[in-house]
Amino acid sequence: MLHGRLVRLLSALLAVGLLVISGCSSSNPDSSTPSGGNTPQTGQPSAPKADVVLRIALNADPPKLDPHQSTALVDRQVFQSLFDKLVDFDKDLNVVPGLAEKWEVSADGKTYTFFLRKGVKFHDGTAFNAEAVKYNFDRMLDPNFASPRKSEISAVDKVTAVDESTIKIELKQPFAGLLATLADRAGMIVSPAAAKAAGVDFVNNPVGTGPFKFKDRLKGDSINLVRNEEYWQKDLPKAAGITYKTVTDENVKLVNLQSGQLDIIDTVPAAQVPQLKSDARLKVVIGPSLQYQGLWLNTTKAPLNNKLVRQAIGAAIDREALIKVVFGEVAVPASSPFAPGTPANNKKQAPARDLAKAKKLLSDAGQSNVSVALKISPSPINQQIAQVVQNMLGEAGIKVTIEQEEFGQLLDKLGKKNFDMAQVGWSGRPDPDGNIYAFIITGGGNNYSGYSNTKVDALLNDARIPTDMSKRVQIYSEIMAILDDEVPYVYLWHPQDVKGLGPTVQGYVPVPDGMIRTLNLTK
Amino acid sequence: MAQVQLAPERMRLNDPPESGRLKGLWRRFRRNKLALPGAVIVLLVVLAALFAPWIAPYDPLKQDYAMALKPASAAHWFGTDDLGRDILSRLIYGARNSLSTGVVSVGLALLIGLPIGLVSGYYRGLWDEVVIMRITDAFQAIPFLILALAMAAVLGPGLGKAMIALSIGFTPAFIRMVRAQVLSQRELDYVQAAKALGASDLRIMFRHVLPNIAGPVIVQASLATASAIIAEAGLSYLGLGIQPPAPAWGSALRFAQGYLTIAPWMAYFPGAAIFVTVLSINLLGDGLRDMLDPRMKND
Amino acid sequence: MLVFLVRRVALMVPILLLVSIIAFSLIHLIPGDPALVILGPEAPRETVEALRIQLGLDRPLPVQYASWLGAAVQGDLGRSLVDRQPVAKLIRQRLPATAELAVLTFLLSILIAVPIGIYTSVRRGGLADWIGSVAALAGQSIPHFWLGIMLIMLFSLQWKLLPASGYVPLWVNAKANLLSMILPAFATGAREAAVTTRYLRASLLEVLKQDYVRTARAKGLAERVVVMRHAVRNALIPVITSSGLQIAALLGGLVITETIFTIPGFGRLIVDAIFQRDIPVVQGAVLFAALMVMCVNLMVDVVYSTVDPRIKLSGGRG
Repeated sequence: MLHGRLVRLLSALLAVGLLVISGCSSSNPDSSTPSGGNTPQTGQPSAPKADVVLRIALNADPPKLDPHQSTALVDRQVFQSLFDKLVDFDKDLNVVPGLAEKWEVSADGKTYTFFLRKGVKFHDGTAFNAEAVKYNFDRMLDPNFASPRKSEISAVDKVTAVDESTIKIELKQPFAGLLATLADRAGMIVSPAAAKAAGVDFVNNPVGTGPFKFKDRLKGDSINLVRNEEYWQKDLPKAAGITYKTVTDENVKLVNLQSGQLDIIDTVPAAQVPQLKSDARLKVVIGPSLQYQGLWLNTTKAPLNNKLVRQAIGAAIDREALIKVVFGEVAVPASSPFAPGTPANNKKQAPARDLAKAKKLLSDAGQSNVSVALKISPSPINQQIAQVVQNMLGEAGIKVTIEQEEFGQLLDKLGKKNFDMAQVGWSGRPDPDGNIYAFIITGGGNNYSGYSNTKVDALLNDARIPTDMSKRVQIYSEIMAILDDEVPYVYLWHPQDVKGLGPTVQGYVPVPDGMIRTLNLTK
Repeated sequence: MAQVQLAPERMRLNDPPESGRLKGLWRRFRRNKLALPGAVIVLLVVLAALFAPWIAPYDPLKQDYAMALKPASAAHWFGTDDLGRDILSRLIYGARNSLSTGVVSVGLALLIGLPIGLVSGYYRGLWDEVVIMRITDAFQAIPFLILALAMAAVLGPGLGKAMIALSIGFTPAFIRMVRAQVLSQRELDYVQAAKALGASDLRIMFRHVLPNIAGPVIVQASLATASAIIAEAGLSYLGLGIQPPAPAWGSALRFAQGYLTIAPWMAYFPGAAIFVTVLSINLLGDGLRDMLDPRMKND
Repeated sequence: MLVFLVRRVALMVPILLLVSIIAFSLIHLIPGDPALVILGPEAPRETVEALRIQLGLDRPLPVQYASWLGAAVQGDLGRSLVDRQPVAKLIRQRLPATAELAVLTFLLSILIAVPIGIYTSVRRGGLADWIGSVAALAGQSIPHFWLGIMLIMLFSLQWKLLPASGYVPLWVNAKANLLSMILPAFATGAREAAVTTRYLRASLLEVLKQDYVRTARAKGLAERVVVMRHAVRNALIPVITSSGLQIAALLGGLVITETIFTIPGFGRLIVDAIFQRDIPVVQGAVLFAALMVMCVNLMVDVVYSTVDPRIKLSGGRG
């Protein structure tokens, strides 16, 4: 009789379990996934198929699928598929037509006229035209909407729809970086009808003109897109759908690529790159990127308010050794925020380590026992970097304590200038202004060091004006000369853009902005 | 993920306390064949931790990039890690951090939990039933790792703060467990007798009840220590806990994950260290349980 | 029974209230402005301020809590600060994976623990017992994330038998789902199995010493009958209930397994929400987790007392 009771007990527990699962399923209509590619592949090459779905891994879950509200970087990857921009970049970072077929810039650099493509439709069927573009700009500039794009296009004064397919943008002052800005989120056009209808919920139901349409998402896990059959480019996109999967751990990402469950991964663990070159299960694609990484130095408080101490830190670090140990071949030394291959890059060698000079600087400053805390956000790579930096600075007589803080707290402290050194970099923008302005100008939104130099401020503003890039480059090199002396930030390395691809993936073109453009992808 | 493994609540101590004859205890401890090796290993680990500066062949923090990622050799018995540091030395010093995490977090939990459980269980009443137990229930209803994580995030980075966070996670279970033991004890004859003889409550609690519940509590504490060592690794996986470059086994394991195909020894040795230590603590705990369970004396 | 149930359910209310206060306090104590964290380093200051006001984060804390509580008792858990999705929907989306993993872990651990536990206790003192006990202890001592990584390397990369990830909801594709759950269930289940095995063995040894077992033997019943029909049942009950309790508590504790195997689970939901300072999600999800744990506790207690008649008696030797 007890036997019966036992059986009942076990079945009750089992029933509970199933009840929980099924109970949740009946009220859950929106978590379905495409059936493509859940089983491990054997790696045989196959002809591009019409029903191919590509699975791309991102290292964080994109919080907001609205380009005008987005602040996270991973959002941008998904936007490449959902939205077209007014202009775009080719693989050499030249600005090329996007939704705008051509454009004219007035002589004084304050008026841009874009001639828009005709016959383009949004995913919801409504027409793309100048009115739609105007709506987008108004949306970004609306103070109640609180768009992070507002500061990016702060130079915009007035937007007018001249006719159905011509739009005129007038600026308050010349801004040479406008086109580059419009090749990114600020130039992405959302459907006015959908935006008005959805309100704040647009972030979960994006509608654009891009090669893929939004199907559904499971927060923290995946975003599913399907081919836009009415896309304005003939016979494109090649793939039937894209699934963006969130995989936060680098190593897990790699393992999944190797076992065939992912097609593209957006980062590859640096330490394993040499080995992976001979791994038949994947291709590693390395190219230049726009990023820079280094150390913020808090100029508002001791001991780093002393310029000599900051210079000593810069001199005491051996960039080559750091890169060799941590990154191998997937990073290059940096001495400015401008990545190699971009116009403002100064093409000179990053300074080599000079331990003697560092020690001398410290003694000149009268500080022989400097003690600072280095804040990093937690990840094994950051820990590695911090330990190497700690070691190197220790040899110069600077004692470093490492403080690991999760990113939210780190941001908080940075904003409040409650830190000594912080290892925080920047994802990089194609236009040089995007890599330096907000970081160095007095009171800049990203100026964590509290650095303030009116001469530099003036130069930064001057650099925004000329339409001739070579003139701008000259101004930037003047700025860097001052920064080399004042050292509010120690530029250490430029990470390369590294992507991992499955063996049959075709159509991927690396672009230094790090974005995976999905138009031509197939496998 | 750590869970305080609650020992089966079956130790009904119907008899008055054993007047601990050491030889009898020792005999019962020895009965469990594995308890002795367990104890020996734990002792070795503790000694290694204590005498680290004299035993470790190298400075655990010394980086040597030319020697990075080398497998075991005569110079480096356990090989080197990604920054060229000697793994054996880091393991030995790591014992300090890992063991102290286990001991301190459990110790703190006991320090808070034991008195509360004792007093609460002894006096019962409104304060006990309504306040203490409900608060304990509330803390226990929150998943352990989440609670520890949130606390660690509140307190900030650092091993010490992680220990406090872990101890807060363990405390409710201890309160619960101690209280349950006290509840069974207080009905027993010897307590009634002491009361009748006019002993003060305090005296009864500390002189009589406490020694009787010491057994299960010690066993529980030893098991919790093992949990804490693993939990430290869990916390560092999520980015909290010990700060680099300090060596600790759990964090080392987490970090070695990225080098599994290049330098697997970075993972084997810390993994083995955790495994062996936790295993030995568990064996020791088992032995203690057998030793202190009065009913076993009938065998 | 009814009185008992009503009393227990009534007790849940103050506890849940306390849980919500603890969760609220903790998430607000963690330094870091949610608006800033959500918008990230690129956002200009006015945008951050505007968002703070929009999200109601500028109100005094008791007001924020009261407003949340008022909505919660009516069933409205609010919306995520990050993407404005209803918290209830997020929980519904992320719970099944973890619940399934917890159930599978439980089943797996019972499946392993029962035969081994019985065998080693029957063969007490022999070689089998020794091996079984050491194996169980070993299983209990392995860090489960370590085991998870090793399992992936072996079964996914080396032998290509099982997927390293690829969670699909059960009702969409049961086969793919179960295939992807085997490794994670094993990684967590191994440890649970070990604990349960040792517990069962201890419990069974205990039961085998009892008078009624001796009586059964004296009556001439075959040893196997004695063991299986009488001893095991009595020994199994406390073990299964305790194991069930552990599993309920696992709901929030499977975070690391979920990370390693990329399962979109409930634990990860809470952890991510903490790091993103997504206050409504943290509060709603923690509350829900607590509710689940308490419900399971209650169910287990009820079943326990129904199944084991001794519980109603004075609880002495059977």
